[in-house]
Amino acid sequence: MFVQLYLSQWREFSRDRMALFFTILFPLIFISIFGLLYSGGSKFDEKVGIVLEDQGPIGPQIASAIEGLTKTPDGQDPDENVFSDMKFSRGTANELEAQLQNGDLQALVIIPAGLSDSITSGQSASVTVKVDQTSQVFAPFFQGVVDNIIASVDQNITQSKPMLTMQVQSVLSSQIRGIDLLIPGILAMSIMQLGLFATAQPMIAMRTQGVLKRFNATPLPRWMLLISYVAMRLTIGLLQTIIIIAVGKLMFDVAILGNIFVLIGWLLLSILMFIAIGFFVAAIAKTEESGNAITQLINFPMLFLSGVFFPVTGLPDWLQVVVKAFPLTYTVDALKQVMINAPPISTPLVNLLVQAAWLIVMTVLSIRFFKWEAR
Amino acid sequence: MTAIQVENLVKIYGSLRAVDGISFEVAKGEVFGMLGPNGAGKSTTTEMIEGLRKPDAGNIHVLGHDVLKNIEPIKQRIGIQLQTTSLFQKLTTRELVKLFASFFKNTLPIDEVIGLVNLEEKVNTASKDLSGGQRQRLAVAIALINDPDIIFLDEPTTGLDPQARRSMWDVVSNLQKRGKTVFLTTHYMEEAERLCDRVAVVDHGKIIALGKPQTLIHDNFHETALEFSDDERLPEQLLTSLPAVERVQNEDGITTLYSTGVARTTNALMALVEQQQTELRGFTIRAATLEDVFLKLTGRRIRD
Ligand SMILES: Nc1ncnc2c1ncn2[C@@H]1O[C@H](COP(=O)(O)OP(=O)(O)OP(=O)(O)O)[C@@H](O)[C@H]1O
Ligand SMILES: [Mg+2]
Repeated sequence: MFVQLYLSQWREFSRDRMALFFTILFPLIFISIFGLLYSGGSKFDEKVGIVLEDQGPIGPQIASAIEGLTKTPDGQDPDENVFSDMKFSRGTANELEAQLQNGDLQALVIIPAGLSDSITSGQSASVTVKVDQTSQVFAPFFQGVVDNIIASVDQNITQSKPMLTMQVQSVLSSQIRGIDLLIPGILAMSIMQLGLFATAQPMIAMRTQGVLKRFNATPLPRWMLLISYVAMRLTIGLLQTIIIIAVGKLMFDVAILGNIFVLIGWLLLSILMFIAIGFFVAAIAKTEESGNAITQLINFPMLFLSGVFFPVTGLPDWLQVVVKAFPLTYTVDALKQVMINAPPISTPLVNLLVQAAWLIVMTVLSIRFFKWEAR
Repeated sequence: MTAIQVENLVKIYGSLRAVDGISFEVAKGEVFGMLGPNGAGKSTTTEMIEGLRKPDAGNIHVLGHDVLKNIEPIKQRIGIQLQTTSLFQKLTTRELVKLFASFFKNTLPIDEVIGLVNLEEKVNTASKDLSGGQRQRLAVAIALINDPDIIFLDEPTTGLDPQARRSMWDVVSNLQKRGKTVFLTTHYMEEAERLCDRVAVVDHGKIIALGKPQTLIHDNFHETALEFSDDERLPEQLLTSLPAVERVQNEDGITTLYSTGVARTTNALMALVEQQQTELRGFTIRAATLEDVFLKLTGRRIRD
């Protein structure tokens, strides 16, 4: 019974060219276009100030390591070094801080006085990184890079326990390009559209056209129908994500920095969440037309505002409040965190809780309002 | 034993009493028909018996089980063809029959069922590519897949060509030969007369006549019907005063004279036509049918 239902839905889906296009091909076309646009990687040309107050040996080491970012190691194409166009300047805390304020600098690294002394006497110390938060792409990159440098300097001095810390914490690969940033967004987008287009609409169609009614006239239990329906969508969702990640990996060698199992966990959670949202749409929409309208109403704002194409932090404050309510925001955030170690907007716990809450609430409401018959 | 027992069934939609106090019983092995015009309440009644719609009042028992209380044991033993069946569009005939077969404990072989409705040539055709009549037959095939004791057919021959209709009649006759109970709705009186052991003639949610087709006809008519259309409209009182004419009906430009003496009425009618210098078109003499019963009881034809 389950197998037959599942197979039937699979056939129905795989023989539908439109559905195939939107779930599989569309994201791929998307990746290809953006991949080609972004894979060359825009280079950073930001200006960074360094305040070196430490008199000991460690501070200068850190400072010159940071400045060394512009140098491309032998045997590497300078075009691949995204930092090669950056500018560094040194000065006092006061003057550089002022430059950061008025926008002449995009970041400031402060290596405090007495840092070397603290470390050598076995106490911990920290380097402060101040980053202009308006440069959305640069900020996380730079923080990550500085953190890496500090960690490696630290390891050279103190073999055992780490002493040096950075105040803004975040790690990023220095190889991150636009396409790497985009892939998590595309994944999130296709998961959402799976929930909206591939879950809600066929269900509404099945109800309005009377397929559900015909099933009702058989001994087929309703839960069996629902389980096979969800299982089928889950399969499509996983298939979709596998294809996107595989193509991203093969064509553009995109980064997956985090744990793959954690990534799969996040994907499963968000797929289930959007399936639940899809069911909710199917529950409240009476006709296919109204289902369409509701779907688009959900699709568009989320697609453009939830961080798929540009970061949420760049939006005006009032809009950020709205965006915080969108489930997709948390999907994008969670996926970016695990795939490219992007700076968190919300902590993983919050991402988990919010998405789980959406999943549960939508499931409950769907069960409450779902109608099996058209009229 | 009774297969279906319905008592005082009522279904109300807003201010419309779609089914208005219907009662009847269907015996096991019987072919029972509901005959009535569009909107009479046939589908509503059928689907309430099938457990798909909840009645506002009344009792329904199918194979001894109360449909309103416990439909599950019944579902394995009945086969349902809805008036409009919509299925997965891109699945083939065989795939769909197989899918529905998986819902039941006992099933007939897939190919046997497809053969019963003569769809062998279309086993690998997607349901969306079937013609209306073929889709109708597929729906009937699916209704037969669990070898049901009772088969519900809601207008099984609507949209079929004459040949397919006759082969559908064969399907129903064969079901009866195998001891099955068939409950069908139709608005073809010929179909009802031919197939049904008993018919319930319904109109506006009420049964207006119930019994064997021949009994219904004989109870209502000992006359023969003379039917024609005349453009000039012969005056009705002249027609009524023709010899042996019992009654005159005029509906949709077709005049029907119910006569107890065909020869006398015909002769007099021809003389009248001559005298009025008019012409009759489509003059026919026929035995009364269920259509006439309906016409007599409601003043309307079943199909408008
Ligand atoms: N779900 C519904 N909501 C409102 N009115 C309904 C509903 N279903 C049926 N009706 C009305 O109830 C009446 C009986 O409908 P039903 O479908 O039972 O007729 P029927 O005898 O099967 O007609 P047909 O020969 O056209 O199939 C019609 O007037 C119809 O408009
Ligand atoms: Mg009907």
